Amino acid sequence: MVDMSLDIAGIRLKNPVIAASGTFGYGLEFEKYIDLNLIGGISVKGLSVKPRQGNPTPRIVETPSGMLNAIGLQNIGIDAFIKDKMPLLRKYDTAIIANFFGDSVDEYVEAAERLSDVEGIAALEMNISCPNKQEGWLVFGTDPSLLKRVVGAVRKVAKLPLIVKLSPNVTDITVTARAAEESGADVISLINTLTGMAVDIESRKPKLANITGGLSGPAIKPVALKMVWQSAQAVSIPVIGLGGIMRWEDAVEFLLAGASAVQVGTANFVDPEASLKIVEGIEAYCRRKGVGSIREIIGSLKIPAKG
Amino acid sequence: MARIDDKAGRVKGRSTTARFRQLSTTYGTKLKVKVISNEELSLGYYRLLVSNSALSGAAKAGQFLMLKVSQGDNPLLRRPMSISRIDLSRGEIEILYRVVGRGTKKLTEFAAGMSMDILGPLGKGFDIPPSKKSILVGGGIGIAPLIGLAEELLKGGGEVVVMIGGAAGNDVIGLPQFESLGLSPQISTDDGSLGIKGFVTSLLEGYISSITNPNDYLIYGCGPNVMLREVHRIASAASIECQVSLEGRMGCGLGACLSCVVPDKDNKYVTVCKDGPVFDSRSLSW
Repeated sequence: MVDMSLDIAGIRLKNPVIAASGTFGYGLEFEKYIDLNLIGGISVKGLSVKPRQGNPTPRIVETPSGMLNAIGLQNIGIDAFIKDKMPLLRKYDTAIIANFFGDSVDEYVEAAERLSDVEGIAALEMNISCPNKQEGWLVFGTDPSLLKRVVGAVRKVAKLPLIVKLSPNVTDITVTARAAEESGADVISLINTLTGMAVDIESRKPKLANITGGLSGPAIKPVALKMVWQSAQAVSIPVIGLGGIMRWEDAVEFLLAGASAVQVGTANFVDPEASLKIVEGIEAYCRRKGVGSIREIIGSLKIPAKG
Repeated sequence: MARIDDKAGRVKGRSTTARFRQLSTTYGTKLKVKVISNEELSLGYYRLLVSNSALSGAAKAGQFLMLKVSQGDNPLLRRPMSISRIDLSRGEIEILYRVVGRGTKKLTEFAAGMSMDILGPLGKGFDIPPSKKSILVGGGIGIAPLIGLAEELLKGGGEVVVMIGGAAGNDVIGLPQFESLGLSPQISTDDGSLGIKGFVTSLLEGYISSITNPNDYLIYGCGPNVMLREVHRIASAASIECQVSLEGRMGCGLGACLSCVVPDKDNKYVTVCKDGPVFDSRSLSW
């Protein structure tokens, strides 16, 4: 038997596979497809204090081995999540991670406060890839000083382990990774989507109503892997790796590169069983390698000596 | 969303581990189907026939399937396809599709005997109230789900009128299928190469102009959005109930990605994949 369990900064996971926010709804959309008790955790669709309508359509477009999305953070709001979704989610023995965002520091703080008191939530995950309206649309996730301000403010009120989800749209990921750590993040997760664009050459129009969107899927995996590897060396807090993980082999790459756990995103759209298959695959890999615990795999990348 | 249980005959060997085998008996509507045939009906239009009795047993007219058209990651996402016909006795499902891009091009490569990965049946199908006279209005490939609907309506002994529109004669799909059900569809084409010259909505307007008791009728429409908007307008003006089957750009088909949303009458977004694809036309914002 392989011990697949982990404790990441107080977040107890039965295995290192978490369904990524924005790709798994509120979890319940998948309950007819997989036994939710068998995955490590579920990061729910990003929540805001007030419900959000999101962007106009078209909201997604397929690109080579990937997809662009500009859903615009449509969500039912924290109140409806607590009232309608949590009672159903609590029945499952899996870590429920409340992903949240705001348009200002105050909104982030209010969301974190509200979610901290909800029974059954294992951790909070801050999406800092959205623009700060008060500061003139600067993005929290790409400006280290803004990042520190918002994470620091949330840290003061958050009573649960705090995961900060980093944007890859920066020059040096280790700068924002360290900024998150210094301002009180317990865990960092990366990468969020890479910004991108697609054009319909016949109509000469952008393919997304929002013009630009976030790229996800297997196309971004090498970029994500490198950033996870760099970040894992730059910080001493645990790292959750994500970006283009479709199969268990991809997940193992992230674990070897230093991720303590992984999130599976776009793969859920293609195969609702993807996260479960990845759990099974990692377990079989550990058995084959004669490893007794998943923890022995994490960060065990072998870098050949130079010369 | 219909659930297929083990009694309905799940496909063997779809997973390797014992835990998965156990799971597959309780969960999921992810199936392997066998391709029976996949042939071009007219230029760019295809008819795909697949076999899986669990699927045909669970499917309802107006529901759809998510097809995995490639083995690998490109194209990445599944393609939504409405079910055009359900053959319970043979355990077969018919899908009519038009080649419009990479995914549908890839779909044409499936040959008889091959296996295909399908999610479904998904979404809400047509709501068929008893004892109404039905008017079916389809445009282009949008005719697909109306064939299965006609079959279902005829089984219930209902009166069915069909109207098919297309850009040209080549785009008039489903005629043989409706004729095999004993129906004689009215036809319109934009260029007049088949049937009357004009839009299918003109046929609809002409037909209902003589109706004196709108409560006895129900209009079912499927086709391009611009056509459906007109169908809704005509139905509303004549006080006839109307159901429309919408197309949506879907990422997952499960209500998770929130890509295929449309505004409802209160301007709140609903998903085509889970709240639809069939809607009472009055429930939407046009």
